[in-house]
Amino acid sequence: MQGRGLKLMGKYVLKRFLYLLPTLLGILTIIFFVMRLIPGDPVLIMLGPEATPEAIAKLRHELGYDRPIIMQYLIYLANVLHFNYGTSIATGRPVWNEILAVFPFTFTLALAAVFFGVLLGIPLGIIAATRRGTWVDVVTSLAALFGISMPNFWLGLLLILIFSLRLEWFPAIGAGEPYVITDLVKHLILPAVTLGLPMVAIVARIMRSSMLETLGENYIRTARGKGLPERVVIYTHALRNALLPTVTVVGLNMGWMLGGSVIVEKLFARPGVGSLLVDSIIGRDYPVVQGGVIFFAFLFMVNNLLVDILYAWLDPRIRLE
Amino acid sequence: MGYKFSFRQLPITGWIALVLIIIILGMALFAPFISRYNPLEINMHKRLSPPSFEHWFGTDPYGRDIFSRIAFGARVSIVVAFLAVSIAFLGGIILGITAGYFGGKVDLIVMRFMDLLLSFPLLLLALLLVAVLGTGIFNLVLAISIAFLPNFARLIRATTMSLAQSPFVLAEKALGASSLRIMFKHILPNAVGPSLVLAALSLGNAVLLESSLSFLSLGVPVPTPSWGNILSEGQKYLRVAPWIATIPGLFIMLTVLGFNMLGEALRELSDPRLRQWRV
Repeated sequence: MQGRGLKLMGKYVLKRFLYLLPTLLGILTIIFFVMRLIPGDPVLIMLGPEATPEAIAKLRHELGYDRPIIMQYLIYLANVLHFNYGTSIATGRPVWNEILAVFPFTFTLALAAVFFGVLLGIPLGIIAATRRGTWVDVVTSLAALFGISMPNFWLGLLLILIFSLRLEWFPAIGAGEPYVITDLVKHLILPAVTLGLPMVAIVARIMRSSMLETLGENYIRTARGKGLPERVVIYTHALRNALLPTVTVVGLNMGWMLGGSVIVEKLFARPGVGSLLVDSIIGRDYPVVQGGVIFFAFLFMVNNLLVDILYAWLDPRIRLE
Repeated sequence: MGYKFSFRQLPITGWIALVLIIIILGMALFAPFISRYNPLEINMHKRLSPPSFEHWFGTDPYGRDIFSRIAFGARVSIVVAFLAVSIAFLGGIILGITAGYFGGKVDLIVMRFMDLLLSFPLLLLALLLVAVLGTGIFNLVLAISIAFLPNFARLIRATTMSLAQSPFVLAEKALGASSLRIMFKHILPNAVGPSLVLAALSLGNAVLLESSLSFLSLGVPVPTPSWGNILSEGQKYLRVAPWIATIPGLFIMLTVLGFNMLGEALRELSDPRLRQWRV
């Protein structure tokens, strides 16, 4: 892109980013008030039932719970911007550090799952589209339907049962030996497949329908009329345009993936933000819950922004909006 | 914009879906009659026994009959899903019609709030709600319904907005009908159609959501059986007693599959362009 194209793109990105901010603010506000709705006094929870009234008052003052709610809200916002999410009740460490420590695991898992989903999903979708109406198409579509109906924790357990317990090909627990790539990858395979299989289904379906739509367009007819080999027609012309909705759908489903990662991490006993979140909910470690939810919401929004940008890059018409 | 279906037009997937759903609903409804044992009855010397004539699906780590637990689990899962989706549907109707009909500020506020809720991934929103509300079936239903509400609200708002401009509504207005009357007597019946597709799909997702939460021990509290619960208990015994974890999952999948297929079939019926497989 040069000159005017780049400038338009920049404007679009900026617009999208600015649009994000009120939403982010809204989410932070909701989280703030929702957390305040939790029954029980957070200070008492933190100190336990034997705390003395002086200790309670002291901690309350330290944490700012004795200030008016508006002040608390503003302090909260300021803290969030400075990445200060408080300290974990369970471990005493800063919440931000806890999250950051486990984030790489979640990230690699999500990435691997998307990679798997796209790698398998796109070809399947193309095959189903080009062989429309045949048994290949029917079977693929049916398989896709199964894929999105399956509970991912069940799929994970089945995979563990078959590949871990019976065949002993892959390990079932944990993330693997730190810094040992082969071990890390081995531990990543089953969780990534578990998380990514529904993605395969979704991608295959959207790919199929957008391919079918694209193949009906006039320029495809022109390309065929020009005498281009079918292969070129499909891969160079149809695919490029069919990819657009697929990209959007993949991007939009990342959120679904983030949710799914929670379960998959718990299932495979992998460390990660999802595991952390669930454990802290069960353990009533509210600072971590708050931090985790904010973090996820933030990730989700960044993801949407990236998808928007990617889409605008792929389809120049969007930049003019 | 009326959606009139005749059942004769239902594609084969629709029929399969109906059969699946009826079987599962039947299981849930007649659970006490088809179960041979009390699902809560502990029997330690029969624990972890594989499927047999005595216990069709085997027993769990506490010796409870799994078939009975699954039958009663069907009740829990179906009731939670139906309740949650109904509440979401009703709430969505109220919010959606109000926002769509009045437009302007009302629309802006309501929809921004809905968008905010939608910006959370479903499971995460449900997790947050459960963290706040606490566990228990009532809170579970509430959490799930809040999670699904925005989608209904959006859809109904969209249909309301397009209906609000149609001639018959304008005629009613000219005749002096009150807003409330127009909204609920005239717009509502026509706006409901497309939401049925969403309702079917949401039922499937609600079952999935409930079982996911139960799997994480944040849903239906033990010892009440729920498919997610049973599966979660079975996880520890996967090596020695794989049936405990695998069977409930199969039921979850079939239920969700049934609702998804139904939703798709309904969608096909209402949109002639999408007809894929017809027999």
